Amino acid sequence: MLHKCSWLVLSVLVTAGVAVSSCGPQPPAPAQEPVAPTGAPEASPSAPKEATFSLTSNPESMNPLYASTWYTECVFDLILLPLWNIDDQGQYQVELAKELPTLENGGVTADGLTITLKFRDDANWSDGTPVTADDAVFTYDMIMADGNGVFSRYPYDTYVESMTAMDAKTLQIKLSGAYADWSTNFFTGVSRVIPKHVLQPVFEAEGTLDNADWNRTAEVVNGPFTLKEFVSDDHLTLAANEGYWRGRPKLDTLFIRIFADDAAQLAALQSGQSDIGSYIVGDQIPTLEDTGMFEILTSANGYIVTVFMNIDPKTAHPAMTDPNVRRALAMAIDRKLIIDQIYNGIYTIPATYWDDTAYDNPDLEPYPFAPEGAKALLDEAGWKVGSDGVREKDGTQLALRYVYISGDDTTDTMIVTFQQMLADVGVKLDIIQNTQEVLWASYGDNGELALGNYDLTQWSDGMWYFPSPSTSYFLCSERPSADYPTGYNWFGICDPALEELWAVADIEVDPEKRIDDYHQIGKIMYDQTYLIPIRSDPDVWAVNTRLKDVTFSGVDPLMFAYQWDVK
Amino acid sequence: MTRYIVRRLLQAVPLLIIITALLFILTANLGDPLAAFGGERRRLQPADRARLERQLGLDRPLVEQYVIWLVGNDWMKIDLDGDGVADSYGTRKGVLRGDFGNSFQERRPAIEVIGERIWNTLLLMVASEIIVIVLAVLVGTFSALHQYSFWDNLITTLSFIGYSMPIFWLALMLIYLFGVNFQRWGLPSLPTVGMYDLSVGPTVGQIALHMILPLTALSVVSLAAYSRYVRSQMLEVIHQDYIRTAYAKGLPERNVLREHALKNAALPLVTIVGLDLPLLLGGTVVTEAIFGWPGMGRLFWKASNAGDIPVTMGILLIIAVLVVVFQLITDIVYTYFDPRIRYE
Repeated sequence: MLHKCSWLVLSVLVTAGVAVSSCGPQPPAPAQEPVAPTGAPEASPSAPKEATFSLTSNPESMNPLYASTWYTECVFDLILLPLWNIDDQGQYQVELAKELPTLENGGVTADGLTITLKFRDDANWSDGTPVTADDAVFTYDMIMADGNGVFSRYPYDTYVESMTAMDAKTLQIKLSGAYADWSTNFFTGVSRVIPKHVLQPVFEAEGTLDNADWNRTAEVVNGPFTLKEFVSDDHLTLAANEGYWRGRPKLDTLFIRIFADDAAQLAALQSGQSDIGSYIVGDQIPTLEDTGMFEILTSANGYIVTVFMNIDPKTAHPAMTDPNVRRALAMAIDRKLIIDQIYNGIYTIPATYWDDTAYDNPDLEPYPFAPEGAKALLDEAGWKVGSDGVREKDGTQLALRYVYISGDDTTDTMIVTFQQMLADVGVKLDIIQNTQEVLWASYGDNGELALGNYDLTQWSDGMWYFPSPSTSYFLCSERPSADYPTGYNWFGICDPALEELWAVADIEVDPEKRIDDYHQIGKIMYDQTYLIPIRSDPDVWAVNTRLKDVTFSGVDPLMFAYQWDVK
Repeated sequence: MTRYIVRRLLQAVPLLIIITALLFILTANLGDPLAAFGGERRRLQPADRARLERQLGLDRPLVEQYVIWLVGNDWMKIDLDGDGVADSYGTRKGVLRGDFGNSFQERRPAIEVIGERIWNTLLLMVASEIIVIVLAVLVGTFSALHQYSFWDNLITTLSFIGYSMPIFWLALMLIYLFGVNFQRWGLPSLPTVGMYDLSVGPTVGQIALHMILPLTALSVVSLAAYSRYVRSQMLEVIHQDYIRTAYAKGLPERNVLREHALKNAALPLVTIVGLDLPLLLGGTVVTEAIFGWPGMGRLFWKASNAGDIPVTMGILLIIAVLVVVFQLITDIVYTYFDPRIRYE
């Protein structure tokens, strides 16, 4: 009896399993038996040109109002055009706009408060509807609408006084004050224009775009590709957009595979199940190069791995308030050794937070690795080596709390290496791992960093609105407190000289003068050792050699995808 | 029996309310959900944070957040524009009316996010459970009947090896052997990622092919444990007096084993399987992550890490309900295996 029952149950479950596979919310792709289990498709003159691109995180939404990540911006580069892109040489490449408004062409008024821009005549949505200034005004209205839980209203809420469609193709933006970064923040980067003719009826019916189908399906877009399918945490399928204003992309289909694990991406690249890998980590590079199938490319993206320090006398170790101690810590860390040994030498050592941009002060050299110099600085600061090899002063040991978000093995290795290097100069490091939600929570939510429960911490940090150099990280006004629990300056930095320079730089519309302002800011931060830049953190890509013309930009990563081709 | 089932179901209601309240408190205290907001390309400004806390209901006391999660807020006025005046009715209906809220991360109904994954996870996990149970019964029984033989020792050794292998290591080894190296050696290789080849589409053949490696990884570890369990149960049963009596009555060995030994040995196994089945829905984080399988395990991991309360609570609620239901089913199944059990 049991025997019969077992087989009956098994049969039912297997049938159910097969039914599940066909009844679940699978995409309605045409059923066709596989021809080969794996392997990159061989291109032939008649075969469709296909490529598979890997992402290691899920795009949040297809609607830019609800997006904030690099991964999502990669997808936007393929389906939604910005006003302009910024290429790998730092040059503006217009997309939806006819040209970049400037003082010279009359697009920007002398006071810098009114910007007028023209949309291209040949820029259309994929359903044939022209992209107009009304779309931009609608996008702005939706960002500001109370019914929409958009990710961020910045900088529109802070700087835009009004946005008006002067005619179908002319947009006028009036600013409430001078704003140096308008060209890198308005409808560029992760902020893009959305289709009014598709989404306005949704907003009118529901009072919100939060649940709009378009946020997932994006059936009407204006980029080089159209979205055919988005299966969360699995893949996106993109097809060439025949109506793209530059002309049809060379690839017919671009698949995006979403991986949750670096090792899984690596295996997929090695076995030909993916052609382009993103966020390639250092120790994977030789493995990929050894296959002879991949070219490794990098693009500067404004990110550097940085050690931040708590210098707030109320919460930090007393030694951390002394610039000489901070400089000694920087000099005790052999960053070249770390880059060579842990990261296969692919990164560079930055001198300032604005590494590899025009805002990086060219007169500054990275802090040297000089353990003897570090020891001398610590001696000078009164921290003498104790009986157990750890320095102390007035009965207090130089034992620092190094708090960080546990993650990949290479980061763990790097921090243990820091610990050994600092031990060599008599500084004890207590390594404490924690999660992002706990470390990066706000002061009001008892965030460990916001409360100052650390001495050193680290993460890969970039300019908030890259390639804009602006950041409010280090402003006195951003220090969190009970009255201002959401402040981001978790480092206790409050330097009047910096405050003054930042106030000037934020409204400086002359690019050359602004660069000079940031060189001065960089010099002060360098001299005070407010942070220790460890290594550059460019985007690292692995590109299968069966593809050609694959290039990237650090600002708008996939802006050149329309050129990608199969050999 | 009917009265028993109705009574158990009614008892489940307050139990589920207590469970969900506790889970809600724990989930809400995992960390600041807004700390996970903001990516590499845009930061959450203080004004945005205040607005989102208001819009997501995170500015309310925890008890109120739980009540809203349970019964919604469309009956109460809320402050939508942040002017301090509650002047608009909310839009949430609450889980009791089928509204699990919107995912903080994916910005769409949590039930939709979960619904997309359930089938993928069930497909993988149910298939794995079937393979494991069938093989465990066969291997465990064989091993018990041939105690201390060469085959028993071999199976025991393999079981311990299988049980000791970390699943992430086994999964990676399978990928590199059958996915990467087989291809390098010119042998037919197996796909290592996703549910199907994107160029081909979700055909039955493709899905079956893509299930081979994750199923193998999942089954090896569980099979090792289950087969040991069946072996020990069978060993205990086949030495009982009633088995000896059955042999003495002249019953064929097959009948003795099938009708008497296995049926009694299966009773504890039913308990374990009954506990396992609802948890299958939770998927397996490691296997799904390594094989790129878009299932519930990955979703739960991602949602709980990001403080995505609606999705995390949605998954936990579904599992809690299933645990209650499957415990009831297990109790009913007992009556089949052991006729002495009566629910009156």
